[in-house]
Amino acid sequence: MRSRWWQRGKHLAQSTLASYGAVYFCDRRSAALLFAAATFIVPFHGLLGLLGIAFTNAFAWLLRRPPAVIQYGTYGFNGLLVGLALGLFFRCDLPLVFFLAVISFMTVVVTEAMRLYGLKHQSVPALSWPFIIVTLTALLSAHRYGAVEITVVPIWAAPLGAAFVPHWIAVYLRSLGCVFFQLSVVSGALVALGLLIYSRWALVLSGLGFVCGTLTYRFLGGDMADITHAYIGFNFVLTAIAVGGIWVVLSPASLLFAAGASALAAILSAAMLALLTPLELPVLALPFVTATQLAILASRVQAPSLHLQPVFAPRAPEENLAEARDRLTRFPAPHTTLLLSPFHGTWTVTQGFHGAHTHQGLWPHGLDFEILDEDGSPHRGLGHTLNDYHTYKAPVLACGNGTVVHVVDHLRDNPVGEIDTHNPYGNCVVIAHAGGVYSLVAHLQQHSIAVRVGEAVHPGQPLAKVGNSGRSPKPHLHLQAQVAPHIGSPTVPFALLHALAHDGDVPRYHTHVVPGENTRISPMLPSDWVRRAAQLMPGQTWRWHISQEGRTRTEQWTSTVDPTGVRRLQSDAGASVEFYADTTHTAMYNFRGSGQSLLGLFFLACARLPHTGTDATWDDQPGARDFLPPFARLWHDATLPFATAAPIRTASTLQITHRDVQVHCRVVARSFWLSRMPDDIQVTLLPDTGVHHVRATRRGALLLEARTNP
Amino acid sequence: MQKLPYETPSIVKHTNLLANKFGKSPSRRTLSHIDGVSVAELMERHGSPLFIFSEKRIRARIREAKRAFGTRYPKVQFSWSYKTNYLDAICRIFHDEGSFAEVVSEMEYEMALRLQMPPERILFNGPYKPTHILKRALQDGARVHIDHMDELYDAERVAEEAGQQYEVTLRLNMDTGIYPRWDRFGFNLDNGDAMSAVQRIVAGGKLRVTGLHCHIGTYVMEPNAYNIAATKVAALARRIEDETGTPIATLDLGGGFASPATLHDQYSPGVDTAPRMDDYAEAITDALLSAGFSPQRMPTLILETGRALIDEAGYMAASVVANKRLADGTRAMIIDAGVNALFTSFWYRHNISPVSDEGGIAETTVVYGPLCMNIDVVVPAVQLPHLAPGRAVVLHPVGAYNVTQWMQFITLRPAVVLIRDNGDAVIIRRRETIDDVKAPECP
Repeated sequence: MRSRWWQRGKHLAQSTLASYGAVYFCDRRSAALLFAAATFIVPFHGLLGLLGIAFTNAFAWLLRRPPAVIQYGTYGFNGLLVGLALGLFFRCDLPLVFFLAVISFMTVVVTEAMRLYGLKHQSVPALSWPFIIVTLTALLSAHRYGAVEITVVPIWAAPLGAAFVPHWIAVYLRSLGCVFFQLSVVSGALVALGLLIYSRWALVLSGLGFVCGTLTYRFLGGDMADITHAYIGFNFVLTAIAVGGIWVVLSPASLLFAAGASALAAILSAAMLALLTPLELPVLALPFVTATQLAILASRVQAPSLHLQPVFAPRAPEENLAEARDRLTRFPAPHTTLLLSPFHGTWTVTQGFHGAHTHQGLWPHGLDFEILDEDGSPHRGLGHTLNDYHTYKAPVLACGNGTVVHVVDHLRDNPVGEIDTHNPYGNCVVIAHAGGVYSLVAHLQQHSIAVRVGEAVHPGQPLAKVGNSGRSPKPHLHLQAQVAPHIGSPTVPFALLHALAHDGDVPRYHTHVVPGENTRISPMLPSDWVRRAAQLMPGQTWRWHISQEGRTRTEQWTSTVDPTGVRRLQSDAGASVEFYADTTHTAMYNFRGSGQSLLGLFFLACARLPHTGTDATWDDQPGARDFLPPFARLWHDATLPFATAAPIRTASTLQITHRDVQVHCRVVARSFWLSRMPDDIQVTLLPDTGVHHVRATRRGALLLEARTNP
Repeated sequence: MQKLPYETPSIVKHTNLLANKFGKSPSRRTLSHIDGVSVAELMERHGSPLFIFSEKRIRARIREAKRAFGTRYPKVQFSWSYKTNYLDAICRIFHDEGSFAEVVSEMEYEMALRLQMPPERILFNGPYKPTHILKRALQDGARVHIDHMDELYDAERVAEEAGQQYEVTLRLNMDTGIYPRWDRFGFNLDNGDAMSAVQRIVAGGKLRVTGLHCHIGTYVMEPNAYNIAATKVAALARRIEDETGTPIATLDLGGGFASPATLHDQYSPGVDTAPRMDDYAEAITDALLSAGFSPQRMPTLILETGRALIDEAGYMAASVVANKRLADGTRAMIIDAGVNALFTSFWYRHNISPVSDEGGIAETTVVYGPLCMNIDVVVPAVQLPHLAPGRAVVLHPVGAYNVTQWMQFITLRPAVVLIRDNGDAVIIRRRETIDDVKAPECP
């Protein structure tokens, strides 16, 4: 019984704190506590804010709103702002509390309506629109009610602490505090401290927004009193944070974008002031929500050249950036068309994207493949007949799941050296894949097509054989992706999924690659044996015996999967890593915890693990943040938007023996702070048992060796 | 003026080139260099006769085969047929190219182990595996191919004693439309023997069938026979999977691909008639790709072709000993390499090329070996110009079966030289001495 109430109390405290944090998009509890403290500098302000949260959350609970959303502070933060606004504009007495209670019901309903609309239409976030609508309603209604009196109170709070800092610093700090309707410099300082704890970049962005917004206001001849007394500065601050790092990934471009958005907020502020001042209404956060929503919209419909990456499930700017960096350097960009190689064995790309011969104009994204022999020749003998060509009659495969939408099968194969410019694609098959993408394979052999229009095909299914039809002087296979089903539609970029490039002794694995001309490439063939070794089954545990520097310790890992499908390896030593696994590869990301932990070493060595049936090597750049000492992390975070080189690069090689699978990873750390990291990690995996042995060395000296319990 | 070499006068029937119904007289080919290395120099250094192998040709051929199959089927594994040529240096090249070892006797199994082949990369095939070696191979983890019921009983007994379930492959034979039908090896697929053997294994629970193997013949010039074999084997694999739930991981289509050598009873030369590797690859993979296996779980295709990979890489350099006329006037030539060293003379009409052409009229010649035995006919009839004693000739292709089936008979066996990729000619088997021959005797 006690534990149930304890649980409820904990949820209540969590949802309340989350409401304070959500105002600055922050999920850090210590920062949220400082924000809460800032509202209590004027105690009854703080109290009304707290009441606002309590009323909204209570109504949300009574209306059976999803507990997770309550917990997240979605209703609470609007309630908090309504409470704080009423606290600032009205005298505190019993009618006000009653007024707040009633109006909080409206806050919940408006918030919920906007949330549901946003979910359904995947629109830009509602931000604090509910608060603005409710507060403006409250202020308008107060004109008719004598019992609630409009005064900006208390007088003593505004100058509090202003004497200790220069004028403009005081204005900036007040602007920070104003987000919570706190006018004192002390409140502003507490908020600044909270931001510092939450995210250094958020603090930098707040300064940037304040400066840009204020300069714009001044440059256009605005009245500086609006900034210092009408308290519109917080709009610039919030806009810059939201646009610079929360809803857009932090980057030099996003900093410029944030500066621009806060300038826009300054212009919107003037417009709103002009509109609302005659009505005796404050502008509240109207400039912020308008500017920010426009900016978010712009970032989502931008031309790709702007380099702004929108964020759809935001966290702190640093985390957004780390995740985006991880995704973009290690995994295919969202919406990339990924096709499996349409053939067996090793082929050579004889014309790449934007190739000189035919990959031009509206059709630049094509790949031509041929089978070349050891001497680089496409044929044996003299090459005068099609039969001499290695490529001729080689099977062509479906490069993904889909449905056949077009088949041309009747065109004659050209004699060597001749081309058919009337039917440039010759015999071909077009397959519709999910997501409105079509793949086309061309120059197929006459009457070799084994599928029919309407037939569902699966990856690797034989479609036809390579011929020499269409604009093809010698047998070769052409592959392209397009967004329309017609033969001759313009092409779109695509990448080959799970391919091995043969440029050295050991084939190089690429999760996705756009092979350049003359690359020798083959599909990566997943092996069930390696998959069984690398699958990390949910529920499985590993008990480790670790010997390190003469001491031994134990560590236990558990593989979990949460309700949203996110899979994690969790170590009882406090580290955890998320991973993705399917039948082709395992990829790990978002490592948290000590870089010295065994899980950290495993993450480095196996951050990417193709289930390849043949030996392969690959490079990776696993996220380095948690491997740095705390102070170096600050520098890492500060420079990450501008950095291009990853601090940790790994080169792994997978070898299959009949007993086990061995991953040998060479770690190259490019930071002074990582000089004690191992430079060589060996991991042994066994089918079904999974990871079984880890050995880390530095310059040949053993650093750590770990074994699982047999 | 340069003095021309003396040529014994002879009378040759006139055949007007274009009017001759047998076609043009063969062009006079000489073979003075192999991979840029002078044959005459090699013979000077290592004596005569001399086997010469070209590493370059071996690698080119296995790579061609891997490419032909590998660009048509996702999982292909070649396995070097030891009996075709088990000189260590030759086997090493194939293993270096990724081939497993296919052995058919205890001796060959030991040979593969000597070359550090891991047992799981050794295919142990053949109709006779004494119990002790069968036991050892199973325990080592070698891939044992069961040939008949008695062997199956043996293997089950071994498994029972060890208390372990071993994986085995079943050798099959079947009608593929060619003659002769090799039904002496393995279980017959057509009459149901194979399926009953599988059912026995599954019911017994002591072994597990994970592979099927067939080897339909040798020097098979009809690729379609392999298409039939692959279709039948794949269908059986699917049936086994459906009916017993045992997944078949490997389908071994054996070997028997023709090399460009010309058989005695063949009219056209082998170079023109032997199917290309692509033809065999297409025949086999077409059948497997359309057999209905799930693309995620295609069985591995194993190939054990020997002759087609090594034959062309082997040459025999020999010296002319004497020339004579037979009673019927046919020209005869005796060379110092006989059928004891060139066992394939019984099957092939070898190409024989002088190292240099010094003129003279080409005439049908019988080439005899040095043995005092009537059977020692190396080439029964070939157009050759007169070659004085001491002149060198090269017989080709002789890479398959000769250096394993050669006999120590009347003469000692010759040395074997390998021309490496980099052009170095190294001796990989020295000429036999009398001590080699007499060592095992107990006087």
